[in-house]
Amino acid sequence: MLKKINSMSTLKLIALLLLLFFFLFPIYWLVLTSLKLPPDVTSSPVVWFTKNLTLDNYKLLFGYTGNLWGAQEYVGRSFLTKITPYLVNSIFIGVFSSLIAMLLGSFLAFGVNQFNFGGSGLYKWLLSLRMLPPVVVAIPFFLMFRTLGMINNRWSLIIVYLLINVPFATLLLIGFIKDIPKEISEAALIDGCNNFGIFFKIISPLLRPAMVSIFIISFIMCWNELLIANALTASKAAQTFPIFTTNFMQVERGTAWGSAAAGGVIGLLPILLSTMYIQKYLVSGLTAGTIK
Amino acid sequence: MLGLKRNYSNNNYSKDINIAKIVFIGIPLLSMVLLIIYPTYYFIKMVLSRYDLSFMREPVFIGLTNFINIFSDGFFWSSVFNTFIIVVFAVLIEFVLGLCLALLMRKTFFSGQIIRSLFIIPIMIPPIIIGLDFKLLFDTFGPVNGFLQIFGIDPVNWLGTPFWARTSVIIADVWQWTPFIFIILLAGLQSIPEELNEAAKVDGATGFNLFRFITWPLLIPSATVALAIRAIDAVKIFDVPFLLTQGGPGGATEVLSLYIYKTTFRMGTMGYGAAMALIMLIGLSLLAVLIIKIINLQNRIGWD
Repeated sequence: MLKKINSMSTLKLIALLLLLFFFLFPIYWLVLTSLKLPPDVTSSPVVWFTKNLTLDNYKLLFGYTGNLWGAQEYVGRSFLTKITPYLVNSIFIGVFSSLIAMLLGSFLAFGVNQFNFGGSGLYKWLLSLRMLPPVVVAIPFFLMFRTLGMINNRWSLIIVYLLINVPFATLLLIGFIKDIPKEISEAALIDGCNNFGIFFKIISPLLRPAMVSIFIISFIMCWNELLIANALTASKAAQTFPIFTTNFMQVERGTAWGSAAAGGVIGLLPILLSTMYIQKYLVSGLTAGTIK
Repeated sequence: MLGLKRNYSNNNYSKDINIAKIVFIGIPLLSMVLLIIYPTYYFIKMVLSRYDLSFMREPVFIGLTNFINIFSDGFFWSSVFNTFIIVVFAVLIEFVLGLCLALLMRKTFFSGQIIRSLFIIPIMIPPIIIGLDFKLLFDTFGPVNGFLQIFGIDPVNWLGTPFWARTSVIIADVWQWTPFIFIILLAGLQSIPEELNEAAKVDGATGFNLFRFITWPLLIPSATVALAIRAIDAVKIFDVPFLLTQGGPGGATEVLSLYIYKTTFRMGTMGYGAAMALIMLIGLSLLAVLIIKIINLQNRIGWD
């Protein structure tokens, strides 16, 4: 009996390790490629592991003009643009869009709950907005912003992302507000607190952890979005980080993969920094409040 | 709540309620409606027009001609087919793998916070970086072919042949979204009371029977939600084929979003692109309505 159990768990362990390997290897490979020297990147046979690592790929992305890999001449310099403006745009757009979405979303969630507004019609409407395919969003907004002369403007991206982030924040926050016992706000009402007081003094402090997670997830949504950003922008005045990554699409096989991977690793940073925090809220976040 | 309102029936309170309603419901709802009305106007106008950005100054009304053209557009239908194939296989594999992972990791030290945080990473990674990463992995001299060589299998031209290119897109999607299903199912599993399992074990249920008659029925709600959300999201796939294969080779990975994007923003035929986008939207809505009906989502949330 004992032997049988042992062999079962060994089998389980092997299966688990294989799956873990499958999910971790691509990240390992991205990080490793970003640190490799150019000749190791596409060499055959494959370089699985090497101690010849440098940060020169990252330096190149940030416009470093000194020696790279010990040589002054490097072809890549001629076509690689600096990553900095793209990162600045991404952060600017992400922060503002998420902040506004969180404000509007928490207002709406509170209002819906406090005044019993909407019901299942509103729920379906918000959920259907969350399901909109980006390409359906991009076409009319492109035409609208073109008439308004707002193509290649960071604010137009902030506005478009509201369309996705506000329903998300509202759906999620309604779930959390419902969990707060009604007695708390009723007691405040009796003590002479008005609705604004209830929202700002009682509900928002209780919602703060959920709101931080919603801010982070909205920010990452903006950080990740490619299609709409690509359609509405034309230059690095407004282009975001994913569009920077598409620059590497046209490059001849292997020539700039080191720096491309370095860009990819930079793109992972906000996610790596925030996963521990948001994981508690991720299930409800990903399912738009359908599961808690 | 209603009783309280009556007690406070003086002017001050009802004034406060009205202002509060304007601030908390009016402003956010109005901004959402504005965000939708104007684009919808442009969208409808465009669907019924011919508007080629490369040489036309103004859109020309042509009625339903765009839709008639779509019917005979072979590229459109093949992109629908490609999307279908990729979605079906990707979502099925994701579900099976995610379920296996959730079952394997339950009640082991793997189910803790750290491992869950690790598994969040693929979900949150920008899909465009996943496209880039898998471009490195599936390279002719890349590590995937390197693995194959270790086992004595000939290298595969992953991104250069229609079948393998499609497979690559599916694998990239599976890599990103299996953790999503896994996390939802793990949460579902962890909410099953331990007493149930123990009672079933006392009654002699083991292994597969335990799963079939105890775990699975209790897991169905989470499983359907996970599948529904995943299926709807998968139809929108864009970034990975955009970078990994650019729709090639021979249009084998030209998914719906990618084809619409190319006709609209690369070729500049806005009207035709908008008409295709409308068809995509309608199809997706039908799928969503169908799924919501099947899993009876509304009642589960208790919004009615």
